[in-house]
Formats: sequence, structure tokens, C-alpha cells
Amino acid sequence: MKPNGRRSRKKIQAWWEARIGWQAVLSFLRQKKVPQTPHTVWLYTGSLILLFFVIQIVTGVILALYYKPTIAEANESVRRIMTEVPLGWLIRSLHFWSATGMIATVFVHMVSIWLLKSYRRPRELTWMTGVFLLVFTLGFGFTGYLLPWDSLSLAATKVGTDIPRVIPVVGVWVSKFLRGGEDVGADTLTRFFIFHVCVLPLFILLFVGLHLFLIQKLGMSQPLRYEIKGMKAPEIPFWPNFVLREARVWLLAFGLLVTISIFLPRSLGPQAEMMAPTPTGIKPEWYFLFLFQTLKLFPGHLILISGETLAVWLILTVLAIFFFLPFLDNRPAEKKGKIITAVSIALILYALAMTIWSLVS
Amino acid sequence: MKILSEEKKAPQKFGLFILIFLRPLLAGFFIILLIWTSGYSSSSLENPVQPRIVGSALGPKANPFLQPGPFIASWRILQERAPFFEDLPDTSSSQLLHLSFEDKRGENNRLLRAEAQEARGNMAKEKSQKEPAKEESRQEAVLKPEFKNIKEKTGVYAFLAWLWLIIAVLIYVLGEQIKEADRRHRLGI
Repeated sequence: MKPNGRRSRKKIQAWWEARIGWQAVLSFLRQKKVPQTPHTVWLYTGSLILLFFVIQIVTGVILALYYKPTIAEANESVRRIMTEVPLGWLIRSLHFWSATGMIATVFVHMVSIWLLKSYRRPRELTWMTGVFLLVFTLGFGFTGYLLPWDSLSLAATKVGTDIPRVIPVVGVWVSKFLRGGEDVGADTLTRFFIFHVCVLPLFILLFVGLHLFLIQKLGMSQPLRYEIKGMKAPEIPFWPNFVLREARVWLLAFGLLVTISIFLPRSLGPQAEMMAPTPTGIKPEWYFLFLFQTLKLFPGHLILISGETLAVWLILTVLAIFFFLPFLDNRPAEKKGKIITAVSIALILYALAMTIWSLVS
Repeated sequence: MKILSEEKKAPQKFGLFILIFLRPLLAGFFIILLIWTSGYSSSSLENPVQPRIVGSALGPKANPFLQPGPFIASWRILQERAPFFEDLPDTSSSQLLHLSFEDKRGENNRLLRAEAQEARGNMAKEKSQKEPAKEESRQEAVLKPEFKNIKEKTGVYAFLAWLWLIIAVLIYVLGEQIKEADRRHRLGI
């Protein structure tokens, strides 16, 4: 039996090999090397984002089978998912917590790249595609927040879609485009649903593909310590040594995700009423809190322009600096870049402080 | 020679790995499938509210008020009037039953009818008063997810325990695989 089994397995392998040529892919992955240093731990965040994204797709597809994107049925359909669909509340909770995990990991991943100066030549495009992926991920969070159509999400979306209005020329158009009209309503919900399940996934898949291609093409950067000394960091093959290590992290992350989803399930607010007054104490999700608190800090008017306009311009400027960082800090890889490190740490501390302030206020 | 023999063992180890890795995963998958599919209804219309039948229509055994004996004659009277008592709350049916006991010969039928109509009117009134309040409270309430029943709760906790057990086993297996892969890398195989 055994030789027959082996023969048939070899036949199947040969069949696939003739059509796909997967041995070439495996050979490439074996050739690919990953630095094995104390900083390697940051490299796991990249694949962790992909794990959360896959969980998002799976749970999102299940939720989409029952969700109805109309203002009359949205809240009720989510209520039905949570009360009538077997383990529907768990699927929704997994979707929410994997989204939270994905956004948190994206932040950690970007901060690690920032502090390790891995964006420097020749990896500028890898960084820029990464910034796009961050924006798309936040877009997922923003559009997904409205879908349960509860009073808090409606109020938060009203505030969120009002912000672009302060941008000259295109601001009002952007706001109208997002809302599908002058105010948040039925069209906004339809649009946000389409953005959430069609537009953003297409863009994110495109940019993930590009990002991964660039990583494979350019390889992973060496830690600064080794670059400064002109040494080569110890390396391990990507396949199977690094992948096996990553698999352990995925398992732990998956276990934690399921446990959190069971013990801290996501609740659902009451159905949004278009004519109802704005509920007190509205706040966006945690990943927008630092921006929200920053907007609150600015006074109503500053000499000639409104405080809100100034705050939005400041945020857009910081985002632009963030996007073009590889061109602003285009020194050779072995330079330490102390100013960039100091600014980075200051900004991270500011974001953390604003988030905590907003949470406790 | 040693290295070669270890290389030959590799497919067997791989088979063992698949055995350890896939079987518990498949078992877990079926547990999830079982929890997933148990007690599912795609629409609330498939689980309609069972029509409530007044105790009198079910006979003496169904209602403690209608025990066989001196009241059996009353029960027969009520049987004839069964459609008349449909959709009445239990309290009303009990009151009407009491009335009918007083009226064994059916002389007071008009009074009985009037009482029933009044009870029906009261019920409709109560219903119209309760429904907007109920709807309002339902809309105001924040829905906190909870287990539907003890079966679901046990299933989910069993799944969680199984998941962590599998994770512990797989982390151990992966640790061994990493050691082996690192050893091969050091030897340059």
C-alpha cells in the first residue's frame, strides 16, 4: 500500500509542478534570508497583519450573508445576527476584535519601521505603499463603524464626514461624495457598505500585493547597529525557519483573539434616529481618539481662520510628512538619524497622551 | 551517513506532523460545524409563535381547574363554547370558567358573553398600551451579546479549551520543527 501511496503522491506533485511550478517558488523562498537579531520580533507584525486581514475577510463574508444595508433594516439585521444566527455574536465579535488587532498591529508595524529607519533607500516605495495600507485600514474602521446604524455610529459619522469640509476647493465635494448628499442618511449607509466590502478590499489587495512584491524584491533591511558597523547580521532562511517561527505567533494571536471575542463580545447600540438629538459623550473608535482630542484642543477661531480648519491642515501636513519621510530623511542607511528618532518618539508619546486623555475625559 | 539517514526519515516525520497537525484541526472544525448548525433557523417565520389554546379546549387533564368530577359538566359546556374563548388571557379564561361553573345550565349565557367581550376589550386595550412602550424600550436598549442556552455556552467553552490545547500542542511541535530546521541550516543541508 505504501509504495502505491507514495507513487500516487508523486504523481499528484508532478501534475501540480507541471502546471504551477511551485518548486521554483519554494526554491526562491529557501534562498530568501531574514536577519536573525533581537529586532526580528518586529518582523512578525507584518505577517500578523495579514492573519488579521484573512480573519476579517472570513468573518466579514459570513456577516455579509445576513446584513442588510438599509437604514430600516441595518440595525435590526445586526440584532438578528447577534440573537438568532448561531454564534452570530461571536462572529461579529471576532470581526470587531480582529479589526482592532489589525489596526493596532499596523500602527506597531509602521512605528517599528520608522524607528529602525527601514524606509531609507532603496525601500521608499515599500514605505509609501505601507502608508496607503494604513490609510485603507483606517478607512475600513471608519466605514465599518457606521454599518450597525446605531445612534453613536450615526453621530460619529456625521462628525467624521463633516471634517473634510474645511479643506478648500475639494472639501465640500469630498464630504458630499462620502455622504451621498448634504447629510448622513440612507445613501451614506449604502456608500459606506460598498466602500467597506468592495472598494477598500480591492485597493487593499492591490497594495498588499505591491507591498509584498517590493519586500520580496528588495529584501528585509538590516538593523541600524549592523549597518553602522558595516557588518552583516546573522540570517536564517525564510522557508521553513522563519515561517515556522511566525506560525507560533499566528497561533498565539488567534488563540488570544478568540478568547477576547468570547469574554469581551461587541455590543450593539439602539437604532439610529435621524431626527434624534446628538447623544452626549460621542467618541470615535480608539484609533481616531488622538485626532479627535487634537481637534477639541483648538479654539473656535484663531485670528483669521477657524481653529478646526487649522487643526485639519496641521493633521494633513503631518500625514504628508509621514508619507514623504523617505525623501526627507534620505541619508545613507548607516546614519543614525537622531532627530528623526526624537521626533518619532515625541509624536508617539503625543498620540498616546491624547488617546488616554480622550478616554478618561 | 547519519545525515543521509536523517534526510530519508524526513517524509515520515512530515507524515507524522500532518497526522498531529491535521487531525485535531479537523476534529475542531467539526465541533465548530456542530455548534454552528445546531438549532439554526434562517428566519423567525420558521419558528412561529405556537397558537395558544385555552385550557378548556384541551380537556380536563390540561387544566387543573378542569379535573374530572363535579365540574365535568361545566367543562362540556365550555367545550361547546371553545372558539369563544380563543385568544383570551389565562386570567380571563379562569374567570370565565368560574362564571361557567356558576352557570351549569347555561341560563346565564348572555352574562358570560358580555364578560368575555369585556375581557377581550381590556386585553386589546392593554396590548395597545404596552406595545409602544415595549418597542421604545427595545429601541433604546443596548444589546449585550450572551449565550442563547447552556448548550451553546458549554459548546463555546469546550471549543475554547480545545483550541488552547491544540495551540499548546502545535507550539510544541513547531518548536521541535524549528530546532530541526535550524540544525539543518547550521549543517548547510
